[in-house]
Amino acid sequence: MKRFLIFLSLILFVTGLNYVKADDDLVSIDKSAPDFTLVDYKGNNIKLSDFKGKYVVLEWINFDCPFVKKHYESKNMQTLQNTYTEMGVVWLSICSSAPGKQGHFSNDEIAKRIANLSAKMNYYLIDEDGKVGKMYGAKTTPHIFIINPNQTLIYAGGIDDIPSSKQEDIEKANNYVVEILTAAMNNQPIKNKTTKPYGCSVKY
Amino acid sequence: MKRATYISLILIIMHFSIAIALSKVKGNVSAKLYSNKSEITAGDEIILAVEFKIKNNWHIYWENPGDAGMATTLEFSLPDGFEAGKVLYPYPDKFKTEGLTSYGYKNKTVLLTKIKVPNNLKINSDYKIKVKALWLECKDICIPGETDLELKLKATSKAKATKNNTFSDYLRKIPKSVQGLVPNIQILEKSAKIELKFPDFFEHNSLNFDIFPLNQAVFAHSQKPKIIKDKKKFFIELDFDPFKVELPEKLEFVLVLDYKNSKIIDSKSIYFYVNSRN
Repeated sequence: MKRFLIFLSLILFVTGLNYVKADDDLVSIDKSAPDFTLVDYKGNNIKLSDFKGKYVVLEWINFDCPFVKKHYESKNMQTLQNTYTEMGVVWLSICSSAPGKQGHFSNDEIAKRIANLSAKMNYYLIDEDGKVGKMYGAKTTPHIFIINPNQTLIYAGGIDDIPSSKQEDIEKANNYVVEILTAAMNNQPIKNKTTKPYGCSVKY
Repeated sequence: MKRATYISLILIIMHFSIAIALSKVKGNVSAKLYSNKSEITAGDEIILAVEFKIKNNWHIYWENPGDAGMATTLEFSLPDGFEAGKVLYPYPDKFKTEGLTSYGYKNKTVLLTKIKVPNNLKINSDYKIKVKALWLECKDICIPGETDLELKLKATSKAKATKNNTFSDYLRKIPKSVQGLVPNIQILEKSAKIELKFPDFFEHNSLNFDIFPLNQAVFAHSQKPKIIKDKKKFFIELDFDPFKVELPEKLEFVLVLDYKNSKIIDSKSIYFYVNSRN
């Protein structure tokens, strides 16, 4: 009995070690996208794992950042949101702006901005303590992460390849949301799994 | 009815002219264009300097802006035959907020560019140089900025130099290659280990250094570089960004060394290229 107990405790000790968070558990491409729960501006609890079986786009957002404005005032972002949500992709806009910092708004103000811009994200999630942003390594607004139906992270980087604040650069640029989702949905290899994200710093 | 229209038209015009005046005053960054020579001769080389004056607490960015931001860039419109070289950036400062690190400039900086003058010049003619400067000025928020600059250069048979301290100060801050420095680099799974072979390096007691990667989205800008001294070898190890882009052919860095009583390094910055395929 004693031997069995010692053996059992050894097993538990070893398996226990597997749950210690190591650097290797940080988010990376082709690995599982870590689950999170955030509240949207309407008060709904939204969990990433709710969307297993669907492609998910995470879009780090700050409505007052000139680079976010570039894509919203031109209607580029809304077009992407519309196109892909109609195809069953789940679009989550995440705001990690801390209270008092640029991009942090009251729920009423968020509703107003979304209505004025006709923004078409499925949910606008509030990450004001920055936990999810830091977990994912979100650095800029916008910063795009794409997750496949198996909840594997397949892309992290910029929205496109021209890091400017000018609307006229949008049509000249290669849009990575289109490139990655098109390749993934057609079972084609993804060429650019990581690209340079550009924009304002996330206001943690 | 007609009077109302007339009045509203005047008000609209006034509104626009006020708006234009305000936008000139509002900025946190102003830029000026200088040339080291006011007169040029055939086949000459001149240096253009764009001087940025930045309001307190604001900053603009280096050619690798770091984790966020946007590089300061110059777009040239030159007369036929004139050629602009690469824009030369002085070594930057670091700006850190909430775990994010950016590279750029505060208070004042000057970007330099060498311009090659063609062989066929019309003596006594004026040549117009136009430069558009684009930047992102940031404090806790960011505002994109741009301005159009121009100057005229007169073609003569014999040129005279412009006396301007701006150039010597800032030329010293432009990184240069150092002879005798032969770096090797090891690409590891999560980092790059850069070997530096500095002649009589270990004879200097106090050394402060900073390393700035030129390649964007490769290195973790907020991670402190590790110094490894192994017998007579000196290594700097830099962590990769967890989402680093595909490694380019050449990895380039600006190394800023601050030797006390240095005899070898006469300028503060060293620019070294490393071929990551070695």
